[in-house]
Parts: sequence; structure tokens; C-alpha cells
Amino acid sequence: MLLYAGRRLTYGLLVLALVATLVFLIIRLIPGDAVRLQLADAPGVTQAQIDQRTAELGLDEPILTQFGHFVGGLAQGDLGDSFDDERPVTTKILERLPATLELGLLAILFGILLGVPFGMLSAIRHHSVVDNVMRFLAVIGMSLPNFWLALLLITFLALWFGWSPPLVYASPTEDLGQNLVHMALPAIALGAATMASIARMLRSSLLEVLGSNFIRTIRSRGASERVVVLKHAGRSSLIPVFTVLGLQVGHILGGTVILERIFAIPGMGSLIFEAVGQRDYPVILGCVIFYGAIFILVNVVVDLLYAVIDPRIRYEGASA
Amino acid sequence: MRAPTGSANEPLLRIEDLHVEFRTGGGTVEALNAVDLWIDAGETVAVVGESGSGKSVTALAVLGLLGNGRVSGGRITWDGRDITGADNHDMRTVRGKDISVIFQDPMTSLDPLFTIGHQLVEAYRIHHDVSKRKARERAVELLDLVGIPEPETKFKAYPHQLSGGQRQRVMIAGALACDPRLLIADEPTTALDVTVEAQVLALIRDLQDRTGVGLMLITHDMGVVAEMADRVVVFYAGQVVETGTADEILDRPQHPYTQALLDAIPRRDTPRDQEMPAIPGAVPALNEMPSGCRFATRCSQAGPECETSQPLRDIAGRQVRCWRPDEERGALAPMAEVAR
Repeated sequence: MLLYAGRRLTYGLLVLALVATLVFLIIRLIPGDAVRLQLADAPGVTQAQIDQRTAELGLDEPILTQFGHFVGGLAQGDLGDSFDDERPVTTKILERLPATLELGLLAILFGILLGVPFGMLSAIRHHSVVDNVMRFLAVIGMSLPNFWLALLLITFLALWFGWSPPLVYASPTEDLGQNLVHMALPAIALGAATMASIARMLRSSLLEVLGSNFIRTIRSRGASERVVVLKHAGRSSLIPVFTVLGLQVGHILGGTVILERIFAIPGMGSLIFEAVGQRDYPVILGCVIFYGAIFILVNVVVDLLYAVIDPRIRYEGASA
Repeated sequence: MRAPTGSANEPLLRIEDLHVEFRTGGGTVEALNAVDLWIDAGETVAVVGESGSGKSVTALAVLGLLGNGRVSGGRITWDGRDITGADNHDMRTVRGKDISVIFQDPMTSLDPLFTIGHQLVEAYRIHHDVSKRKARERAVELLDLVGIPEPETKFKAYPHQLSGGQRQRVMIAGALACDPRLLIADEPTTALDVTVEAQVLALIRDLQDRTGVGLMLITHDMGVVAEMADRVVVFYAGQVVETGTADEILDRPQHPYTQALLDAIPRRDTPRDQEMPAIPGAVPALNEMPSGCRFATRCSQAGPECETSQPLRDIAGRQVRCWRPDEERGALAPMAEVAR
């Protein structure tokens, strides 16, 4: 089991290293120059000043040297300093991380809390009206872009109920109530696709399991449908659902970038949004590494959960 | 041979004129057509026939586990109580407690995610309100009963850690957990090696001797029938075509289908160059059943009267669904050549 976990984690770190390298190169391909963007508006900027600033930021060095610095820093847990305010990137990200994590967790929670019962109901009453409505809603939930859904929610809540989300962000420690009210809409918009994916996946995997031989055995012994569906079929259906959930975390993290912007949430999403606008390379890179690390970590956990759920995977892992 | 109808001698399980149909994409098909069958306490009844002849459907109908099928006619009586189309809630008190079942494929019939001990404890606790510790003792006892070595250790094993034969033993243990009065064994050894097959059959017979449980043994293996059965019910295409004691049926089959089944068993003394006796053709599809005898198109004895449907008749001390049973065939001219 430990070996299995270790191997998954090693793969994850390799992927992360690859992602970091790629992003490092790609952001330097984005048109626009960090220095010019910073200084362009100021009147009377001379070429000498631009050159000086470029040298300060280390952008005059060959790209491989820059990469070497970056990797050297990374090895010591240093992601460099922001081009913008010259504060350490890690500090900036850690300030913003909690809001993003909260939003992401709320979105996932929304997806699970609604997606699981919807999927179960759909499977138990398959081909009923309830099932057909759920499946239709699931397709819509999966196809709507989250930012558009968010805008729809804002618009119609304002139109019909005269209600709009608060404009000023409050952290959960300041005012938990206002914080949750603020987070509700973006979390729903973000979690809708998760809910739909979970419902669909759970429906199909439950249906498959419910038709299997061992379920027939358990029914033949007089077990109640509650035991059959929740305990036996439910557990067997969990693996594909966790797989979907692991992938959905990626969508949700991506979604935070736009949604935090729309709802003025000071999280990592809005940080990377600003950083891209200013070509703040170290911050972009740092955010991507954090996003990647979260995604990879979640999927390693999902892999480990497989083994917890299914003893066959557990033993396979131990012997391999 | 007909089961007595008086309540004093009421058989354990009685199936009368049972019809079962399944909903499919293209409408409904009838899987069982007028099935009659009964099983007395402690007796072993072999249900034989080809795949798709309705043997397993009969078993599932008794347990109310037809899935998208339904009983469309007839009656199932358990211990004098009508359980035809009983709702799930009522059937749950019968399943596992009165009637248990062992399925064909032990490899997929146990939940792979729970230990076998857990599954046995669960089977026992469904019908017994006892502590987990008590149920655990019962589970270990059951594992011992079905001949699993080191039952205390094996209690914690997962199904994938056991061999096919051991898994089938665990299935049997689960089926017997609540001391049922009838055990339905649906081709319990088909998926097993021949050596293991003999062990499992011996185990079932031994348990039957000890517990007095009735046995409905579904099989297509006439060797197993000869070994185990008191009585035999022969299925063909959703109907019972012949039923009688095992001795009668094995020694003097009346229905041409039963005869053909028995002839199809390869023997050691059959010369190699002799063609294997097989029944020509295939079972007609459920939605294309002929209105007359369902076996007529494959029957060597078929005559013109076979185009009209025939009821089960008492012939030579048993029931046969045939216009031209062996017993009466001497009086009739063999029509096979004429009919073809």
C-alpha cells in the first residue's frame, strides 16, 4: 500500500515538473513584454531605463540561464519574486490560496451533495420521468460554460428577486455569513458540471452493478433494497465516480480563474488573471505550479481511494 | 404421480400453470408456458433442459427476482401460502430464510469488495436479530460446515483470494446460513472443474442428509441427474415436457426429447468413428414458438397430430407432453419419414 502510494506520488511529481517546464517556456512566447507593460504608460521613459529594468528582472539573460535560476529556486522552495510588487510569489499565492480552496471545495460539495442522490434516483427509477428529466438536466449542466451560468444566475436572481451577491469580499474569519452568501453563486456555477458528471456516471455505473450476479445473490438472501443499493451496489459504483471527481477538480480549478474575477473574490484565480495581464512571469508560473500540484495531489488521493475501496487493487499494488 | 392436493400432503413448493413473460425492445416474449412442478420437503428434484428452456427463469420466478420479467399467469404456492407476484417486501421474508439459491457462476456471484466473512455475517443477520459477534460465530461454523479449511483465517479473505470451488462452497454456506427448507441450485457445478464438481455435489448431498433441506437442482448434465435426483422435470422451450421419478425417466424416457437428451450423452464404449448423437436444429426463438408441439421440428417421431398443442398427460406412471410417447408409439406407424 505504501509502495503503491509512493509510486503514484512519484509519477505525480514527474508530471508537475513537466508542466512547470512547459509553462515556463510558453509564457515567454506570449506577445508583450513585462517591462514595457510596466513602464509604457509612464511619460518620458528612456530606453536606458527599460534596459535597466529588464536587467533587474533578469530578463536580459539567455532563456536557459533564466530557467536554471528558476529551477535552482524551486529546489529550495523559492518561486521568485513578483515583477509587479517584488514580494515573494509564495507569499502572494498563500494569501490568495484559502479563498480559492474554499470556492473549489464548496463547488465540489455542491456537486456531490446533489449529483449523488440524482444519480441514484436516476438509476433506481431508470427510464422513468424522473430519470429522463435528470438526464436532460445533466446534459445541460455539462454543456453550459460555468461563467455563462454564473452570469445567468446573477441576472435572473436580480430580475426576479431583486437580489444580487455582495460586492465586497469578506473572508470566512471576518464574516462567515457574508462570505458564504458571496461564495454561493460561483460555487453553484462551478459545481453544476461536477454535479451533472457525477449524476451521469453514478447512474450508469449503478445500473451496471445492479444487473450483476453478486447483487442477485444478495437480493436472493432477502436483503433490503437499501442494503443492496447503498451498501453493495453503491460501493462498487464509487470507483468511476471518484475518477470523474478527480478530473472535475481540474475543471473547477480552471473555472476559478474566471469566476473569481466575475465575483471579485481575491483568490488564486484572480491573482493569475492579473498576473497574465501584466506578464508577471514568476506569479503565473507559481500559480500554475500550485494549480497543478493541487490537481495532481487530488488524483493521487483518488488513486489511493481506489485501493481502499477495492481489495483487488490493493493486493495488485502490493505484489507489483 | 400428480401431487396430492389435500392440505395434509401439501408439497413444500407447488408451481401450477406458471406463465412468465419478459419485456424486450420488440414487445413481450413468453419465457415460461404453463409450467407445473412441485417439490416435497427433503426431496431432490432435478430440472433438466437446454440453455434457454426456462429452468433458471422458473427458479427466479419462485424467488420473485425476475427483473424486467413478470409472472403473467398461474400460481406459486410455498408451504400452502400463495406467493405468486408477492411484493418485494413479502418476498424478502422468504428469500434466504425459506428458499435459498446457489447460482451458476461462483466467480461473479460474491461481492468482490467485501470479505467472505462479512457476506456470511450479513446473510445470517438479514433474518436473525443477533449481535455481530454471534453472527460471526455462525459464519465460521458455516465455513467449517462447507469444508473450508482454517475457517477462522478464511473468514477475512476476499473472494478473489479463493479458488472457484472454494467460492462455490462459500456460496453454499451463504445459502444455508438461515437453515432454509428448500435450496435451489442453479447449475452449481457448470463453471467448475470436473474434480471439484464431484466434491461440490458430494457436499450438497451431505448437507442435505444432515439438514433435510429440499433441493431443486437445475442442470443439463444427465450424469448429475442420475447421481442426485429423486424426481426429474424435463424442460423444453419454456414448457415441462416430461416429469417422473429419476429411475423411470432415466430407464424408460417417454418423450422423444428426453430420449434424445439421454442419447446425446457420450459413452466410453462408443466407437470413435461413430458420429456423436446430437439433436438436429435449435430451440425455436421465444417469439417464434409453433402453436403445436414445440419440439416437433426437431423430433424424429413427429406426425401430423403434433401440429396441435398437447397437454401434459399421465402416461406410464408419469406426465408427458407428447402425442407419440414411447409407450404408445408401437400402435402408431412411424411418421417421421412421411412428415419430412
